[in-house]
Amino acid sequence: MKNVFLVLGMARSGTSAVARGLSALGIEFGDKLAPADSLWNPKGFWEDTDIVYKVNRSVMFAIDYTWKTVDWSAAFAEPNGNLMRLKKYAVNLLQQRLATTHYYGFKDPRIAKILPFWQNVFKSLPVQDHYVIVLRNPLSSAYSYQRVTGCDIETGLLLWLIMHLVPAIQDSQGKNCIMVSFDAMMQDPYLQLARIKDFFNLPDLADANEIEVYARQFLDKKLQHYEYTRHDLLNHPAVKVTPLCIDMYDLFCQLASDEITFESDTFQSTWQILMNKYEQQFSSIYGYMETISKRNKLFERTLRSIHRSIPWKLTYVLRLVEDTVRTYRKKYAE
Amino acid sequence: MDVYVVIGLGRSGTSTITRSLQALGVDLGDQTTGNLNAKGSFEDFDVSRVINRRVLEALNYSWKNMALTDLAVDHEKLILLKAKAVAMLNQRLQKTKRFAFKAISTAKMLPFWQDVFRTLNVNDHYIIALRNPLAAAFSYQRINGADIELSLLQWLMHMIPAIERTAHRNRIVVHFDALLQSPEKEMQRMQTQLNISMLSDAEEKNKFIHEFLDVKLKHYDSTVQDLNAHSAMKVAPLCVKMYSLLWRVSKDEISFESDEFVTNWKCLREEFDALHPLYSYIEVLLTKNKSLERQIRGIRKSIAWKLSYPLRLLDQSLRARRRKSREKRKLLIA
Repeated sequence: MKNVFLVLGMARSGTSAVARGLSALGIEFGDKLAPADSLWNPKGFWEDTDIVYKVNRSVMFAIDYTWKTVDWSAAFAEPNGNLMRLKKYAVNLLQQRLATTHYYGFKDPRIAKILPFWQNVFKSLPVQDHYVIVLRNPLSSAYSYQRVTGCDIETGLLLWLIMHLVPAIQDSQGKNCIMVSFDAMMQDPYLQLARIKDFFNLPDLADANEIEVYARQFLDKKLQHYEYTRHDLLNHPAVKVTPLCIDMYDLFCQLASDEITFESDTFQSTWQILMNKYEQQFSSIYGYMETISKRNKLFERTLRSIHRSIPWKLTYVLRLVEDTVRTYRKKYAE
Repeated sequence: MDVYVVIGLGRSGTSTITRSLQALGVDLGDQTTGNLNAKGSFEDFDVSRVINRRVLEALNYSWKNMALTDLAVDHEKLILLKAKAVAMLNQRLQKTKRFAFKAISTAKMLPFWQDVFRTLNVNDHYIIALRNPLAAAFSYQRINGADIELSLLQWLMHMIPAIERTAHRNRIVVHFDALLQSPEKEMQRMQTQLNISMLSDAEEKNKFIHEFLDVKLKHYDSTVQDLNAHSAMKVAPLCVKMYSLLWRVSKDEISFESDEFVTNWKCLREEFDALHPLYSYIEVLLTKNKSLERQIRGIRKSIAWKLSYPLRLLDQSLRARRRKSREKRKLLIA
């Protein structure tokens, strides 16, 4: 039986750093990794380009996802020609990757929403799936996300909740799953890596030196720009839009520090309460927010393509004259 | 002297109610206008276009605003407008002792008007127009294509101040449907509760009932069941509860002062306050939407844009061609 490891979590939560940590434990991430990027990830994304660009993006298109839907299994259960083709492709791809190793891992921020797709793929292969959910204070993720995309903090928090943590937990129920805190990883990588290794019962796959390199050279405190506390989370005005973030973060922190397990009654009952609240009070409102956000994105795209077009650039002088005349006329009218 | 103010979300029968006041012998002034309604909207031009609009502008507020914050009556910019409103009302009241007006967004600026009434030392009475929020929302959608969700939120944003800002004053809730179905009964209710002594002759009343009221012009009939079942309602579930409560007030089953109303209202208000940050964020997204839309419209209206039409045509066809050849190449590679 071969093993597949999925790294889940919100973008800007330290998923790349954790993926690199897994690779220090000897889990292979393949050699088709996306190149590093000075803005997003100066030390690499640890994302397999074939999986991210060829499979996951197409799957997202094929199912036309929305924020409103909480349970995705229905969308994946329906017969869908595109999904069938993608599944075949993904099965092939995974077989190729697993040809040279028994421990293969991959990460992509889109995975959480499309987990049922991958679980279908795993079912048709002799592999065992394992999940690593990366936890970071939602406010830190949202601020970091704002730095690279310009998104509102509120939207960042919504993404943390709706796109990543909720589906990650929902779809990994009953599976081999561990919650890893990014902050804890930064503080004591040795401890966290040992914890992961123990949890998955990993044999010694890599040289112990690898862990040393990871802890001393790869992890860079300077790249951790945002460190918000629970107190910040409680008091930030944007969090009022996603009050569930607080409860969920608290619950997940307990998982990350091994105070409770996914299987414990405490976790299961609290999770059920939170999900009921989510579905009854919030999911529709978030759905409406997404509708408007999508319209805004469309407008932004239209504007961008106008601004980039050649006629727009060519008419620069004309526009300048027109704008001046207009401002002058407005002033005159007033 | 008495002033009667008709308040409620637009498309809730405010015009019909205002017209019924006229049939009862209350003066509407001679500045009423109307364009959205087949039979006139009975909106006082000076109040809506001159004063209300400028109050909103002065406070950088729109009728769509989700904020429920108290208007600062002593706001520097409002002093001039208040003087204007006092003069205008004074002029109206010179010809009559009973003046009624309705104007868009009055519900949102009641503190301003109440300050005006205090200065003039007139008795203020309020007629709160009630209609099934879903029916009002459909009616709005027919006119300006507004989202049902947005109109439902607007309904809340109008009804809450309409109820809270008229506490301990002479007021009545009139249901639009009831006025259409049994006009005599509803007019009788208004007459007694608003202390309008019999001023009009029977002929006026008959004219209103038999000529003006036209059930055919009411396009949308929604029941409470529809309200519960509509998917948009999940965005503003409070609408159902608030509507049911106010419906009972309009039937004279309970009064505003009854314990039942007071406790129910308190619960509703708490529920609303919990969701208000989410609604405010919806407003942020909508404001962005409007500004993007305006930008695109501005570009499309500009002379430079129109002049560059042939250039744009050329640019587009070149682009389409390039895209096609790119796709062809991709196919060849595959």
